[in-house]
Amino acid sequence: MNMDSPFRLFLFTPGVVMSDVIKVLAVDDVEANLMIIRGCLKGDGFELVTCTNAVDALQKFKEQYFDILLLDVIMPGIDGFELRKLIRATDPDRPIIFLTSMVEDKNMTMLNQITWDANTYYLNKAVGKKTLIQKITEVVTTYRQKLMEHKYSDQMEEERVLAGDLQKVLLPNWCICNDDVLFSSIYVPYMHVSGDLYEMIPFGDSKYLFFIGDISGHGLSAALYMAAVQSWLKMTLRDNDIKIHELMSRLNKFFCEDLQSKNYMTALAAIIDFKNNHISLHSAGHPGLIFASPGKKTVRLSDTKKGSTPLGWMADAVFPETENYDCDFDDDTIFVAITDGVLDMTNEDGQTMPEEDLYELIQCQLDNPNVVALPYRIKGIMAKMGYDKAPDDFTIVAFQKRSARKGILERVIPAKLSEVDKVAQEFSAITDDLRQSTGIDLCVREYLNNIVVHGSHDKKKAPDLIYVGIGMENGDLVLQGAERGGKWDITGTRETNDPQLFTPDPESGGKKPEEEENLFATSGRGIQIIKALTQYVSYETNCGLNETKFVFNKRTPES
Amino acid sequence: MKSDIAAHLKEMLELEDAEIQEFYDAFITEFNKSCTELQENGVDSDFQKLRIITHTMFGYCENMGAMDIFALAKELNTAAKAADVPACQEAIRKIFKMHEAYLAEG
Repeated sequence: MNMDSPFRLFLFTPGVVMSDVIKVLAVDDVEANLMIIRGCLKGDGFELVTCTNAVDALQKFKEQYFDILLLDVIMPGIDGFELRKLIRATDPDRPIIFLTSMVEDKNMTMLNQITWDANTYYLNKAVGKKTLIQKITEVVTTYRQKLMEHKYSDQMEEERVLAGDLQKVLLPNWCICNDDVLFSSIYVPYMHVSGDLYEMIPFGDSKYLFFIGDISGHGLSAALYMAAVQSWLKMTLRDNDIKIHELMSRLNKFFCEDLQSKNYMTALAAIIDFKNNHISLHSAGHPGLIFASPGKKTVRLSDTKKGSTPLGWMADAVFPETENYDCDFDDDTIFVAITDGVLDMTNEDGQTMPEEDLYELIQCQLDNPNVVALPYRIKGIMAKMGYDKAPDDFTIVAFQKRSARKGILERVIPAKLSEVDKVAQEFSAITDDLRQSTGIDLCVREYLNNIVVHGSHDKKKAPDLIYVGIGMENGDLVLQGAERGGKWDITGTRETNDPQLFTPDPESGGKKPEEEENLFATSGRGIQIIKALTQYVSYETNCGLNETKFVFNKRTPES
Repeated sequence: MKSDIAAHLKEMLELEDAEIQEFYDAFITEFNKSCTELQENGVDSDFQKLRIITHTMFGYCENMGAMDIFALAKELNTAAKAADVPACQEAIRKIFKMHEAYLAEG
């Protein structure tokens, strides 16, 4: 609802209580006519205020709440139509009944003028008590019902937003980096709240339960089921020896019997042993798990012939062990899981993207794999291909075994200045070269301070978490950052979705003098320090994820 | 006349006998006002003004059930629309006569 709408003003104006009494404002310049109205509406059920001119009526209308206005058309000064116009400027919905004589209105000019407004009605002056009361009651009842519907839908909307916010809190952080796994996700609910859920729950000895599900529907019920499933999963994992098909079977029972759900859920659950590179998964009508191998440059899907029916269809459904999919995986395997919403994205012609294209798209990312950015890049590329119309919730999750990321020191930190210092110290310690170490320290500090400080000015733009990693890439020392705050414009001059490249020339900085000045003005000394310390900085934004890359020792073409 | 108005008010507003006089007085007040305005306006000057006066008369006459005056107001309205001075004069004369009759009834 429009926050300025009269409905809202009515519903949330202190002192305004919707009662059984109907408050009426009657305006007529002829006292005898007002007397008739008084006669009609005397007794319980009505509270009548009368005015003999439009100016007084407007004043009363501003001061008090009225359910309905009874207006005469022809009045000296401001007439009934003008008065309606003045009321409609702020209140398009308040019912108005014109009480007038239509003797002169042979070509219906007056009647047409009265009825162009959807919330204006007409009654002949000599209408009688019964008809007047009946009409007023009918119109006001409809109006009040409309008010209540708006109030209800307003409350529902607020609850939906709250449910959506709670869901985001219940889901894992978008990026997780621990000893075993680097995990990243993009989650876009279709209507504030979503039926999608995912989890990566450790349960000891480098074993994890990975779960991704899609509950039918988008509303509050889907959100509540999602919360229930999440807490059930965490409780059930206390049983360390549980097999994946048993988990699905128990979850199905919980869904059907405990929740008595009318919804159903497709889900893919996997027990991943990162120590022994083994995965055991079970799909209940959910898209398969994608195995992408940067080393072999291959992308494959878990066996889609195996699996069971979605959860919630039948309480006694069987989820047999034979339908589990077990396999070993390479150290460097990047796992990608999606919900149906990804493949349901359509282009302008209403076409969805063929599944093969999605795998090809992931394969293209293997030349320069970036687990943290991968879900965002996939969504971004899909949008560039035209698949940007979402009819459903959209979730992509990517994760990789941490030990595969040898030589990369990486952290996911909250966007707090206190964390910057820790990371700068830790990262600068990766080299014994004092000059390089100082350079890393300064660059990390300048970059993170920029993100944290600029983000903190505007809560909406403030990132929640920041991923930072440093390591060797093609012989160069590379610092990478990813966060979901406001766009941090490395050039300090514009905001764009296009990848930006900043390659400073030793003499001119690669910029025209005025741009250079602008740059400095925007980013202060920070950009100058980063320029001095790096050979190459790139910045890219994909679906809200800002990726920044600093290359410290890139060889120039001359060298 | 008064009895017609009383019958109308009883039927349409479900008024008690005791309440009728108050409404009748209010009606007479409005009728007096209209006659004064008609007198002040004259018959051959402002036809538009005549139409406004008669429109007001339509309203309270219909409301009160004074259909005899309503009919005369309609006659005057039609004459004013046609800018027919003799017809206007005749209608006003009839209205004034009716006014006297109502006043006589109290």
